[in-house]
Formats: sequence, structure tokens, C-alpha cells
Amino acid sequence: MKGLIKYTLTIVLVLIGIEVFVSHNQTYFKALSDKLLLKLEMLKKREDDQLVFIGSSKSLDAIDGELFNDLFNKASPQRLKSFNMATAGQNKSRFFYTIQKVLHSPVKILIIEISDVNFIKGDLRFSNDSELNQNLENQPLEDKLTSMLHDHLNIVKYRKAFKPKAILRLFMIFTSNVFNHDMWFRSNTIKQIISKLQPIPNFDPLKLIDPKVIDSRSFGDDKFIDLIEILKKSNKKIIFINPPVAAKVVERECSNKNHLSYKSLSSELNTKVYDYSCTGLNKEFLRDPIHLNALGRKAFTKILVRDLRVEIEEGL
Amino acid sequence: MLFNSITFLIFHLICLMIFWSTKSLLMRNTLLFTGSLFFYGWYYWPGLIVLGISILFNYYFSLKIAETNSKKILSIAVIANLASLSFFKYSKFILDNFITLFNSVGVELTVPNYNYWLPLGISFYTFQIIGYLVDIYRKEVEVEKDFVIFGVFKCFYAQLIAGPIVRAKEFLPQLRRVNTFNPDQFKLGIYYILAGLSIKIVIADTVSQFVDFGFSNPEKLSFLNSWLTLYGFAVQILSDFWGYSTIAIGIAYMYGLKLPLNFNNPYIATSIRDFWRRWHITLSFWLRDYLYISLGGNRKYRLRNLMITMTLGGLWHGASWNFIFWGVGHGLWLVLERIIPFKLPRNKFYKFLNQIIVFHGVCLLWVFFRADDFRNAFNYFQSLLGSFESSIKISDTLIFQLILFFLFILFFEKSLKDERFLKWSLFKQVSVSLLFFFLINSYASAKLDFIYFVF
Repeated sequence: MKGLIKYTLTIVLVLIGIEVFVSHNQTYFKALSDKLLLKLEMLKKREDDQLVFIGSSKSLDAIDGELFNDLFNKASPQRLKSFNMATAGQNKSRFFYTIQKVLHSPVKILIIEISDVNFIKGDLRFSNDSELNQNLENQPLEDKLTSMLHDHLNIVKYRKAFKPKAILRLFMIFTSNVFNHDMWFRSNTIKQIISKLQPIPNFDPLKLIDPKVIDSRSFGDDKFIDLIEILKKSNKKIIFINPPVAAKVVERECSNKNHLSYKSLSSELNTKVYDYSCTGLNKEFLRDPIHLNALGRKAFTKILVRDLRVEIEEGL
Repeated sequence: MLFNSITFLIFHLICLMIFWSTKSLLMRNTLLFTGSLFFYGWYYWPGLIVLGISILFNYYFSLKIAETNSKKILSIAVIANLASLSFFKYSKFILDNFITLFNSVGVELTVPNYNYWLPLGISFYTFQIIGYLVDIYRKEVEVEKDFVIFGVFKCFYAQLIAGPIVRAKEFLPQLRRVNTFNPDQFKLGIYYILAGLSIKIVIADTVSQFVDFGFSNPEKLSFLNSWLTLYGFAVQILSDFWGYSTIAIGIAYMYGLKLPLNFNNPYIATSIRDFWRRWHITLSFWLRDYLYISLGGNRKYRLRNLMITMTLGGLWHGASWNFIFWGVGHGLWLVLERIIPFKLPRNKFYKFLNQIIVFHGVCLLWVFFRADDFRNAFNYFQSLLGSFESSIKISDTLIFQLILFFLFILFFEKSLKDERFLKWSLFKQVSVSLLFFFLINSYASAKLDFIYFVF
């Protein structure tokens, strides 16, 4: 009997201990259970960042932050440290939340992806938020009980923070100022490691990429009204980009309607939109029709440094 | 009420508290019987009507068989049980095939519109009770006259829905005695439940998402992806069913009862015969003892008996030609193994080679088991041959989960076959239990049923 009591009691005591620990460190556990909050926590640790990329998985896969820094610092007399804040699973609420958080940070330049995925309506729902409806009256008993546990126990609320991968995430937060952890946010980690050893690909297949630079003063439609509202108040340097896609989806991504919207955006904020979505990429640079692979990322990062260097230097 | 739900946890804890607070055998068995009926009715109460009729019918016939030892009465009881199973499980399949047959010869028939409903776990409790009736007839077990004990044997909630299929001679004596509380067994029960839930929630539920996608879109899979998805299904189906059986064994342990082992690391089998000694052991032995032997066993028409047994074993898994074909495949393989005296040298290399061959053969037959129909199976085989060009990359998560499964087998599989957990130090017991607890907690978002419920 003693053995059973010892076993049960030890488990209960350890669980209580962990519960208390989690409740005193909620910021970290919240960050461990959601990619966006994790990146915001990492940004806090990276105090000397001057430039941040904001966007969806498209930008996450299209830009190699570390390579961007290296290439920029080679090409420019000024020193740059940037951070890729783009995350998968983006929607309008999360996109705007990220921008507002970054605007309150010491970062000087924001490079914002303006593809449609960032403007899809959605809730600002973090992974640790309850997945159930607030109105539980008509819900099954099981859902009511789950919700109750979620609301009263931090171990349950931040349960995703206890996945094996979360240990890696904790390491990422504390070393975010030392290492670039972008590859852990992308798929095909092994391929990324291999690609580090490969040279930046020949530019020939990409030479057609010439951004459609839009800086007209004419007004388009009002798609970006909310975005303009937020960014107008800021004194930070803003640059908009739209990463390239596969040839077969160019028609969908690169439309006149979009360009009219870009025009209003650039004129209101007195900035430029670098739209690469009108040039279709070859298969060898793509993971899927809208995401670049490791090779494409290297090539596009180089192009981005080439095109944005002067503007970034102005903003630093 | 699924095993991986909070409602079940509360239900189980209440039952345990009442069970151990009384020393009356009648009270304990009444609790287990009514609790099991409550558990069954919670999911879908009309199922209780079918289960209730089955309990009453079989109780009456078991007494009759014991009294008369009449083969005729046994036959009536077995046929009635099989008829009930066939009606609920196979009527639609039989009707659909009849209509297809008539339509193909020009007689236009339409499918009558009726609500198809399969009582939960009917295949399991039907087979269990048939085994009991045959055992009484063979005088291998004493008939249970106490209706409550019989009721618990028929529908104990730990194994009612998806097995293990228990034998009366092993289980009834346990229900007939008042067990004293055994703290070690109780602790072992907690460990088995945590381990079973981990296998189910962390591995089976996660992998199933990739498998569902792969089998729904075989033409989108590259050569490598299709093989990985197939390995994924092999892992999913084992983890799902093994997880359930482990939880069932754990629940029984907490009541001081012992259920039989249902899986013994089947993917390391060195022959298909060995595989069936390790996979769904209680069903394999049931098929051997009550079907294969009844057909004549090894005495005459051995190979025919084997084919019939495996084909019906396939059909038991589901009312579809796919399952029949899967059973036939296993039957043929067993027959081939017996008629071809092919012996490899006995060393580690050839043993490993055998394991690889058997595992891949089993995997290939799983395609029929998992595919929606023959067309889907055919498409999947094409993707296994690398016939489709695909740009879709398999997620790292699937590979990670397969590695996790491998690690689980490596470190914990043996501890789920015996009582070695009790010999571990307190530190190890607590650490492993907490590890499982946190894994269950962090992966607990998927609300999927256990696959074997539909059989």
C-alpha cells in the first residue's frame, strides 16, 4: 500500500509544483504554445534588431534573415540586423496584432508582405485559447468539462507548451539573439541544413524578376484602409513586398485590382510596394505553387537585398 | 463515452470508489454490470436493447446447453447470434451485392431506403459469447448460473466495445471470487492506462491525419510519400488498437482483474504465421479454436480450412469486398508458407531479412484494409510504384511520429506485456508516468474514435 501512496502522492505533488511554476511564468508558456507569440518573445530578446519582416508563410519561406544580413552587410557600409517575424497560419487579426506589437518595439524598418492571405478574416486566436464556444449552455458535458479544466488549470491551458518540440522552443527564446532559428519554423529541416552548404543559385532562371515598383500618387480601392490607419501614425520606415509565386498561379496573384490597391497604399504612406508576384518562378525554386524552397529562398533573398538596399540604408 | 474523454475518467473513478468500498461480491458485480450498461448506453442508448436481448437470450441458452448438452440447441444459439451479427453488420452489404448482380443481368432493382445502424462492439461481444457457448458444450467451462456474473462477463465495460475477446475459463473464475485490494495491480493499472492513452493520442491520432490525406489523394503522393503513408497506416492501426487494448487491460487491473494480452510486437514477426500469433491475439486464437478446429483443423482439408478461416476473419473486420480480399490475401500467404518448405539459415541477418519481408507484405495487404474500394486500392498501389509525379512533400511531423513510435516500442513495449513496471524504482515509475501524462495532455486536441469500434 505504501508503494501506491508514494507513487500517487509524488505524481500529484509534482503536478501541483508544475502548475504553480506555469502560473508564475505564463508569458513563456503562452509563447511556447503559439508560433506568433513565440516570435514576439524572441523579438523582445533581440533588442538590437533594426529591421523586421512581417507576413505569412509565404515570406517565412521566401526570406532567409541570416543571409539577408550577410549580403546587406557586405554590400553596404552600414550594419544591419534583421528578424523574420513571418508566421504560418496568418489571418488579418494576427497580422495586425503583429504589426502593432512591432510598432511598439525599437525596430526602425518594417518590411510587410501584402499578399491576400494576410487580409483573410479570422480571430486573434492563440493556440492556448479555448477552442470551444464561450456559450457552453447547449454544449455536450464533455465540452463543458474540457472548458472548465482549460479555464482553471494552467497545465491544460498551455498544454501545447509541453510537447517535445516545445523544449526546443524554450531554447529558441533564450538564444534568439545568438542564433537564427528560422529553419525550425519551416518544413523540411534536413533540406534546409543541406542547403546551407550550397552556393546561392545562379540568377539566370530568376533574371526576369523585376519588381513592379508602384509609387503612383493615384488612388485605388480601399482594401488597405485599416492598415493605412495603423501605419500612418508610425514614424518607422515601411516597405511593402509581395513575394514571387509559381507561373501557374501568377494570374491569380498578380491582378490589376491588387495593383490599384497597392497604389492607394503607397500614396497614402508615401512608400513603395515591391510586387514580385507577377513573375512566375520555375519549379526548382518552389516547395509548392506559393512557397519557395531552400534554393528559391536564397535566390530571392539576394534579389531583395539588391532591390531594397538603398531604401533600407535611408531608414537606418 | 470514449476512453480518452474526461467523462469516462470521472465515470471510471466513481465506479472504482464504489467497487472497493464494498466487500460484497454481489454488490461489486452488480456495480460492474450496471456500470457497463450505463457506459454502453451513454454512447447510443438504443444499442442497449440489442445488447439486453443478447444477454437474456444467451443466458437462457447457456443454461439449456449445460443442461442438455444438445448440439441442436448449441447450433440454434450460435446461428441466432450469427444471424443477429449478420443482420446488423452484413445486411446492407448483401443487399447491395444482390442488387448489383440483378442490375448486371438487366433486372432493375433499387436499394430500399432504410437507416443503417451497427450496434457498437457487436462483433466482439458476439464472438465472445459464441466461444462461451461452445466451451459449455465442449465441457471446457462450467456454466454461469448467476445472472449478474454472466452479465459482467458479457459486457464488462473495459473490453465490451473493442476487446480483448476474453475466454470464460479465464475470466469467469475471477468474477466469482472477492478480490482483496492489490495496490501493485492498481498502480499497474494506472500505468497501463497512461501508456495506452499515449499510444492512442500521441501516435495513432496524429499519424491518422496524414494517412487520411494520403489514402484520399493517392495520385498526389510521390513514391517516397506513399510508402511513408503506408508505414504510417501500419503504425496507426497497431497504435490505435494496441492503445485501446492496453487501456482495457489497465482498467481491469484497477479492479483486480486480468485480461489477456492482445498484441505482442507484431511487426517483428518472422513469418505470417508468427504475425498472427502476435497480432490481435485473442481474435486469432478464437478463429483457431472455434472456427478452424470446428472445420476439421489439421486433420483434413487443412489448407481449405485455413483459407475459409482467414476469409471469414477478413469479413469479420468489415462488410466490404476489401476486407474479404485482405483476409484471402492473408489466407493465401499462410497456405503458401505451409506448402513451400522454404527455410533460411538461422542467423540474425536472415531473421532480420524475414522480418523486413513479412512487415512489407503485411503493409501491402493493409492497402486493401484501408482503401475505400478496389479503385482506391489500385490507385494506391500505383503510387507505391512511383507512378505519380508530385510536388507535395510529406511533413516532418509524420516522420517524427514514426520515430516516436519506434522509440516507444524500444523503451516501453516490454513493460506492457508483464509486470516489470513494478520492479522499477519509484523515480522511474513517476518519471515515466508523468512523461505519458504530459504527452497525453499536449496532444489531446484530436477527438477521434478508436478505429476498431466499427468492427
